[in-house]
Amino acid sequence: MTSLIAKTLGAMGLVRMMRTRSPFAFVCLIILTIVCLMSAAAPLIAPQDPYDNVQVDFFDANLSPGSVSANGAITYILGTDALGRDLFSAILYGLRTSLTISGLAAILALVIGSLAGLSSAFFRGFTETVIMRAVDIKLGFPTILVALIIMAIFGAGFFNLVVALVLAQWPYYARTARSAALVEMGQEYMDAARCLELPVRRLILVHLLPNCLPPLLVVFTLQLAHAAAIEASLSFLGLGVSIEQPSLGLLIANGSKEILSGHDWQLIFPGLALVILIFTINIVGDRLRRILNPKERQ
Amino acid sequence: MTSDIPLLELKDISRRFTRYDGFFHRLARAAHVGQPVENLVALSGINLSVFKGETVGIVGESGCGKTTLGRIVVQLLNPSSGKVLFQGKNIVGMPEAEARQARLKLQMVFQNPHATLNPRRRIGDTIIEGALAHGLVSRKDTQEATAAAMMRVGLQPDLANRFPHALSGGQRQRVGIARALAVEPECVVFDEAVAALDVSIQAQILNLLVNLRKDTSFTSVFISHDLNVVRYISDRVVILYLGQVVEVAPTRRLFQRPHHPYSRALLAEAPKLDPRKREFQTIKGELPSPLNPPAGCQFHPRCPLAMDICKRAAPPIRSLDKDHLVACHLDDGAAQEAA
Repeated sequence: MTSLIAKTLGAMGLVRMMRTRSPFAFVCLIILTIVCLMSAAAPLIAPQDPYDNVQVDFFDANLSPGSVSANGAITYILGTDALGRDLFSAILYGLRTSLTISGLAAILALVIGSLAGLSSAFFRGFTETVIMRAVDIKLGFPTILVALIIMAIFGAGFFNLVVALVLAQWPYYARTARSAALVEMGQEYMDAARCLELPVRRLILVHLLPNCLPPLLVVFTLQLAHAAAIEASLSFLGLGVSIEQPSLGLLIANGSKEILSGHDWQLIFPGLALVILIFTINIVGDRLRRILNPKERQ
Repeated sequence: MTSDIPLLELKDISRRFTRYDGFFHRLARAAHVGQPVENLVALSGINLSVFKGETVGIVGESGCGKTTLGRIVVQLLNPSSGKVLFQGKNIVGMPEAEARQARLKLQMVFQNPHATLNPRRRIGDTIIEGALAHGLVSRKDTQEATAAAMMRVGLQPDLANRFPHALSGGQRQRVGIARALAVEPECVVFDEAVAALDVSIQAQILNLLVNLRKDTSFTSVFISHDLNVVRYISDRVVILYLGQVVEVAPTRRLFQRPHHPYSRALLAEAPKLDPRKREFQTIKGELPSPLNPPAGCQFHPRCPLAMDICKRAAPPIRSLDKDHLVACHLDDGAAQEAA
């Protein structure tokens, strides 16, 4: 419990440092936090549930941004789509799905990939050969292709999508973790820790992992953004989540069909939401990497 | 030197490093078309005893196997052949739990003060971690134990919450020593522990070690290339040349009457207390490549007193006197016969 409090305080310290060191990243962090909070609270703040047919009025289809609904109850600030759904609400719900899937996938891939990479650097020999050849095999295929194959085999759906993303992304973490860990394994403090006869678990998690974390964190943010993009691509291609679980990719796919009809807002706003999400994650992650270096702490 | 069984005994230790060849190299070699295996003999046939309470200095040029020897002593490296006996028992053959206990009693202080501490751990945690993990200190006594361990090496206990980058080289080296001592080891290997420090800081660390030695059970192996440092700190000195012991003698005796031509040359070029000036002008030539060591006595191409027999036969290590061992044909029976 005390360590939890200490860690929370540490995280607050990080935020404070981000504010003083990089105001731009701090703004991005605020935007990202707002986006996350809004998507989490989507059922509370969205003007309508766009997937509840009772609330959606079909005769409000393709209204431009700022229009008022036929019954006067809702102002569609971002317009409506071809089925008369409020685009703002749909984007909030879509962000929610996209963030959950890509966040879950990126965290799982980070954990699995890092452990694989750290163990291969720690144990060397046969363990390393097996893990790194598996990584090479996976990296021989384009990420989107691997995800496509898995989705094609197991079918669309929330859980399958997470599994597909994890399988597609863990090798990046494994490679990064291994290369960082190989450098750290050559440092004398690892020898000293081995001399102290600490358990292997402790050597890897307490000594090796924290020193390999900065590059992993950068990869994490890149891959989180990438996962959101792949998720959107798969949903765009119809292999992502099912229609009842809207994601940004699905919205973009629907919007792209409408672009020639002059209903460009149906593509622009979901696309903009995706760009904001990915951009802010990347900026925050990159600045976090610098701040996490203890040599730059005061 | 108080008991008959040495605390630590190395018996006929050899260590080769083989270049790692991939699968295809090995396949080619099996078909007799590939390159031959290259073995680097870092150590061969090392015998060494360390008794409780003494400090053994190990001296030699760069690349002579000093560090390899130290790492074998603390079991960070396995010897290619030979035995490491700890309190009379071979560590390699022990059951794992017992071997862990034995290895815990052998600690090491490392050379590079910038790499020896985990940069992301506070130094208090670094020092006490081993003792905590092995239950030598209970969780609620952690702070007092950390403070005591830091006081013992002359560090202010209020530094415990600092990160290593906020410490000077000398302080970091003290932390390294405190970490090794915190698990109550029987023997500490100092691998060039002062080589990377300024002269004044070297002196502080050496005085710290001298103070630690007042505790009679403090046993250590002190690896250095600096003869003055070794002379100051050790009871006995082992001189290594190209992975072999060439002379072992009590410190005073060695510095007064070195026997082996290599030892004589080392001592003649009395090193200044500046670790950067390390040119042995009286020794001709370079250290031969350990990939392709010379036949006979390995020192003969550089030895001013080399005889015919030195090119043919490697001199066995023999006893000149009580406690004084040397591997040289000078004044031994074989050389006389040849002459």
